[in-house]
Amino acid sequence: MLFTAADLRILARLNDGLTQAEVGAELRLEQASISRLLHAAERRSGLQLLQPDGRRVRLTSVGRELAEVGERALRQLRGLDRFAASLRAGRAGSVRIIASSTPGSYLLPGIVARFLQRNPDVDVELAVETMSELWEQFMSGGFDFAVTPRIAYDADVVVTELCDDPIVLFVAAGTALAGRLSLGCADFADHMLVGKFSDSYWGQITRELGRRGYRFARRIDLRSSEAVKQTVQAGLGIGLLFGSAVREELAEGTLVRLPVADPLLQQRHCIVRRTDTDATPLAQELAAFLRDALDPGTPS
Amino acid sequence: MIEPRGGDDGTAFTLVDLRILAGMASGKTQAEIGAEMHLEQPAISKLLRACEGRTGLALVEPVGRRLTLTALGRDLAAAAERTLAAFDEVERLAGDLLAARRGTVRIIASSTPGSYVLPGIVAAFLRDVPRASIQLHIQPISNLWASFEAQQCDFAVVPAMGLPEQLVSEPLYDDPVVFFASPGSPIAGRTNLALDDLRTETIIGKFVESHWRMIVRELELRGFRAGRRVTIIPPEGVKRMVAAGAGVGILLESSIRRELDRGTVVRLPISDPSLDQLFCLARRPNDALSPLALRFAAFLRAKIAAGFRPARSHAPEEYVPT
Repeated sequence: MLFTAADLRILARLNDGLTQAEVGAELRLEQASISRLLHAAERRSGLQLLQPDGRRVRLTSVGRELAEVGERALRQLRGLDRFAASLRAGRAGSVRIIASSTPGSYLLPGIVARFLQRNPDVDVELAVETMSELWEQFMSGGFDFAVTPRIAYDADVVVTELCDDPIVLFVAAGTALAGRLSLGCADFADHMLVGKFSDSYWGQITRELGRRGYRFARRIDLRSSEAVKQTVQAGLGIGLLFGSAVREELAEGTLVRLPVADPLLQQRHCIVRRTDTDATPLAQELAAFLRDALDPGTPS
Repeated sequence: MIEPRGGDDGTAFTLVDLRILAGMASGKTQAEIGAEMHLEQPAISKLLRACEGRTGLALVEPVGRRLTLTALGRDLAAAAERTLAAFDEVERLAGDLLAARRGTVRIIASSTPGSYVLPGIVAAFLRDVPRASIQLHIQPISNLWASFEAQQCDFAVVPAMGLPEQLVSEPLYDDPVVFFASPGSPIAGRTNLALDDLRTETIIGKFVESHWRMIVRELELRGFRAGRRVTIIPPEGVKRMVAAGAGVGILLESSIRRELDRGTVVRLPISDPSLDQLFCLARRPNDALSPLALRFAAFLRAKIAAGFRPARSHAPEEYVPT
């Protein structure tokens, strides 16, 4: 290394117009030590940094150029202290979250955006995976926490409940079923069900529906919630998704929630953290922010 | 709490800490980092623990038999890499400054060399040394030396006459004093003229500038008399007025080369011995010029030698870098 941080500090202060004696006083160094440090830097770099100016010395043009670039490096170094303090306070750093598709696509983005607006020095990486893929990735490490519907966890994790999300059946506005005031299990037998059935999690839900007596003429298996909504909006079949995934369309009236007499399933989304890693202050901050935004028990 | 002592520049971190963190973030083992930094592996662990103590952050954690970065450690390592890049930039700059590949050369010039001689040479130099930066200040002689000091210029390219005593200089080129007229003017058709023949002409020039006063005094000693004098300071104004047929212009050749080549003005064939203005490269004797400034000076000399009349009346004096 040609220049130590101390060398650069001396150059920067000389460039600010301080004398060697003043720089020495500031750095608690003898003036002779300042000269020695600079001469050593000159020898290492092969560059003349100082030149006589009457009875004083001043920086050469090369010394001034190095002082300016060195000052930028020193500012970065000082900035690290502030960054470390922000890391400790949970105001800076990065959080990696993995979420299943519904919370990842419909619940978290808006809340994470608000968190980022409040914390400009924070980076958030939000990975969205199907439930089948999510767990393996989460357990392989690297994520601060996962956000998923509650399932039977088979590993040592800490679970914090976030909010309930009803599972809804819906159709396009204007279709025959959309006008019905009440529906029972038997009313679906002639209709197609559109959902994300290849995901093992949704497989469990449809089995539960079957156990409750719901029968459908046919099932159309799509991989994404958006595809399910588009298909149903086109007038094809009955959609099955979490309420949070269709909240906007239900509010706009392009989709209509079916008034099923038998209360359908309700899922609770949770924050899941592995017990073998400590939550960083920032991850704790974001988790608390999510909890406040998605108060458990608040109907979606 | 952060304990600021122990790091560089009063911070919680040394550059060694940062290199260890950056090395770990890039996937290197402690043994590999130790080999690069000439540190024993236990010393690395000790430095990391000390850094943790100063920052109050858990930066590393054991995974199996290895220490790996925690999430906080990774965040800090990313910031450390940016900081190290800033320090590496200082090292690169030093290398480039030494090799005369980068840096700033500050030049001040009087108006004629500043406007007509240096721009082309500076442009060619910047093409040769793309990371160099040139500051070219152009000032009338009257306040040029104050700016030379204020701007901490490396060089001045100025007329040799009236040079401050405390500076050293080397002659660069002689710039002939030229009388010129519009091609359509009656005097432009003359095949031979003496200075005395101009006594009935309106002479347009920069007569109020100090070195032009000296030039005119010297010309007068050689027989020059003007019928009428019109003073315009910028050479462009002199050229336009002459091109409009208002009289005979007097300027240095370098400032009307283009017009002479194009034929928009013609040089009057004055038979009396010509008068040259010597221009020189001046600097403070104790200034340690940067390698780039020395490179520019050599480039300037070579370009001047190729395109200008070499200074005749002064023995060249090479710079001796201090």
